[in-house]
Amino acid sequence: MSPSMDRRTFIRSMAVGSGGMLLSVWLGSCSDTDASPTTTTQSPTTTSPLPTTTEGIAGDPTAQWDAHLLLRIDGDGTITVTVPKSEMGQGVKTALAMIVAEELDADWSSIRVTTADAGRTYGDQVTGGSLSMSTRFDSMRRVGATARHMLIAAAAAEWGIDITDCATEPGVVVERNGSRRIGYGALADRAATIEPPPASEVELKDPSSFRIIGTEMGAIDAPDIVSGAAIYGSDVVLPGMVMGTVARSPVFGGRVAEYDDTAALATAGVVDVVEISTGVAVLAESTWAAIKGRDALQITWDNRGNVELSDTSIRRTLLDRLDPADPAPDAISADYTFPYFPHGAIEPLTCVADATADHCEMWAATQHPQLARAVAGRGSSLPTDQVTLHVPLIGGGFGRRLDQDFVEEAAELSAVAGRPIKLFWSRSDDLRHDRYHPASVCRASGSPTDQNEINLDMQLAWNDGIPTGSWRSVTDVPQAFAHECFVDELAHAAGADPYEYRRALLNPREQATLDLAAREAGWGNTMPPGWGRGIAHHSMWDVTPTTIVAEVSVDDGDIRVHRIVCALDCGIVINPDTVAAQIEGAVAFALSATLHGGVTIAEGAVTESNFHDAPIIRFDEMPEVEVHTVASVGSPTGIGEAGVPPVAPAIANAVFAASGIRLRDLPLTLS
Amino acid sequence: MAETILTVNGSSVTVDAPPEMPLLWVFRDLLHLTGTKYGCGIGQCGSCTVHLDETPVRSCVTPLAQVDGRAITTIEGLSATGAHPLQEAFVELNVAQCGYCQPGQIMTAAALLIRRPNPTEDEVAETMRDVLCRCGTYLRIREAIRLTAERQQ
Ligand code: FES
Ligand code: FES
Repeated sequence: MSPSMDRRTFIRSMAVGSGGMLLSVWLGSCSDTDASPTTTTQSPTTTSPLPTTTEGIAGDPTAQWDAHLLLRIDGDGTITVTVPKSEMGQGVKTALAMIVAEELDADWSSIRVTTADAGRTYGDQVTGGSLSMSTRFDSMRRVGATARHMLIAAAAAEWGIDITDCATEPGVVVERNGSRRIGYGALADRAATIEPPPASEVELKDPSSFRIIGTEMGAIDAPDIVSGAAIYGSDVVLPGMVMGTVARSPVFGGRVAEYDDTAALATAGVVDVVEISTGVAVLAESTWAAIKGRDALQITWDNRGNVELSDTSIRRTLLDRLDPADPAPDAISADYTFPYFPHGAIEPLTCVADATADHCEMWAATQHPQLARAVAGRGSSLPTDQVTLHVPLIGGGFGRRLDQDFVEEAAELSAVAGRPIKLFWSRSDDLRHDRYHPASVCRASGSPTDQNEINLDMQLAWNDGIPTGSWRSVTDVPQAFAHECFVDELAHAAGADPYEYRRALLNPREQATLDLAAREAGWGNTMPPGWGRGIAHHSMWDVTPTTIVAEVSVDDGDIRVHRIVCALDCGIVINPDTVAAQIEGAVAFALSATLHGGVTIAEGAVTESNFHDAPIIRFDEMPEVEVHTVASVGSPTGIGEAGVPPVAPAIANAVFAASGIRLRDLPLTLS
Repeated sequence: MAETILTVNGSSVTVDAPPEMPLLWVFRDLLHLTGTKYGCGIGQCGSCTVHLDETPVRSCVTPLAQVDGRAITTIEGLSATGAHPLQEAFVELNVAQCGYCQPGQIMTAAALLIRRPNPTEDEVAETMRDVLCRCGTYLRIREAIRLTAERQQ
């Protein structure tokens, strides 16, 4: 996928009542229904089609213009950037604001950032596929540059000089050959009356003169996060709100046959019990009372035959779909397997909804605001344009919140209950009703003498009765595992060094990351007995070449990962430390899957219930991580997912180097 | 229900809740102190960590009845302005990603530094392994604790 340019961008300006200017930018139309997550393999688990609306606006934006905030400059000089993407720790609020501030030539300390509500005129608000930088870099630059142009024009008019005689310094327009200066805030009123210039008249900076992009800006929300003031989806409080929690069929596809709510209703604090599409909901004055009330429900489930499903039955189905191994004379073949992986964000799914007869207001920590708005309309039986949807901070996304089941459930529950509600998913709910990364088997075959002809036959359990969805780096994860482990197997079969052997498979941009990682890791240096080094490369979405070198030790059946060296090429780096943080995060995320595995399916349900039996890596399991970026002036490509795919194969290859044992199934276990 | 008087972040508050209600829900649902987070509800993740006097406890498994007059500190009360040395170090080292686990991380680390102002690496690991972070901020948490300990010497 190549970074796509925004469709034609239209900019309008207007004055703010209280003084100041507001730029409203058309970033391409996005109807409520054409916003499916194109960047990920489609999950086939959506049970019913999305509501069709006629509200998608195409063509002439001036026909129906939503005045919406994208950039606002107040009289006091405060600059507010509205970011049409969801923040889940990947740093998008800070990075997109940095891009605007760069071209606007703003003083960074005057920048405030808000997250856009779901809307039709922000372009695609889906936050996934590591696409926010690649798809918004140009348009956000243009927004900043246009505003700067208008501020200069306002100053020129004020001084009665030509705009070419004006320049900017951070937050101020200055007279080139004079001493006059005016701050952006003081110019905002006047700038708001100026017609935005056509794109051809707006000059963008030369990247070599960037002074904000490429510097460390931290995270705009960090002070609120550490003080506990940051508001996540689960922190929203509405007056008169009650807490709701839903008993869902443990068996996938099951339904309520009958239930008795006598004991639940008798539980202190419980105010109501209602049946909704997904199960039986208990509404209570506190989350605790809702949990107790739910425990007291007596429900008989109709399991609809899904109780036959298990890991082994699904594995068998997948293996049956594989082609026979390559029959070529010197060919070798190996099968690699993945279980179902849960997302395991520390914040379970939560959503706040206030549905009345003619309006539904939602607070949904979602990665797909436009789709969430549409399904909230469906859940509350209202047209989409009667739904307002706000996007609070997300306490971990990882692709789970590209699916909107929890949003629709909250909207329906509020509509049925006739009051504002906060929908609470417990940890067990989150783990047992996830949209899992599909289980997979992948058969790799090829000949050691021809590393360019590796055949991968990958079978994924997309539609085998277990709900599946997007999971950080999606199917690149099993694919890279099979490919990169198999390249290692071929290299050893050919008697070649895995780094050198792999190098011949890669293009120059990819090789640069391979060489950098190998050099920084000290590839080839001897290691103590029981230790090994493994290497793997993957180019996420074909745009972010990433190499990982892992160092492990193997002791008495125990695999310990000590050090991860990563080198990647993600184009122009916006906020450097965020790149490092995202790679550290990718390593931790992949390491949990690599060492601790996924969920078990037995009798049609997930067996695990919480972190004690579905562990993720802890503080003392985290390896040292070193991140190196290849210097680049290419457009930014995205870093949220790039680090994940090469981690597991680098570790498996390192385990082989340390022990001579080939592990081909996740989680990697020696016992 | 029963009325209980608590001292939370230096103020006295009266709550009307059953004695078995975990403190986590008292804070979040009744007092609207939402800085303390739910992650597991069974004492496995540490997101809900608060201090009773100076002892860190998992508020999801600490019933109201167990407070017994001790002073409660939540993340909102660790410092008046978010300027506790650990909070400053967390911002400085860009520790948070999604940030959801961070109140629990900070409260756990703050209690450790009260008990052991200059903890060894093993002591830090032993304590901090009790608080999960799905975003993988562990290395930076370690650095933030080290930096804070150094500054306080
Ligand atoms: S919510 Fe209390 S330890 Fe997880
Ligand atoms: S920062 Fe996201 S869970 Fe720790």
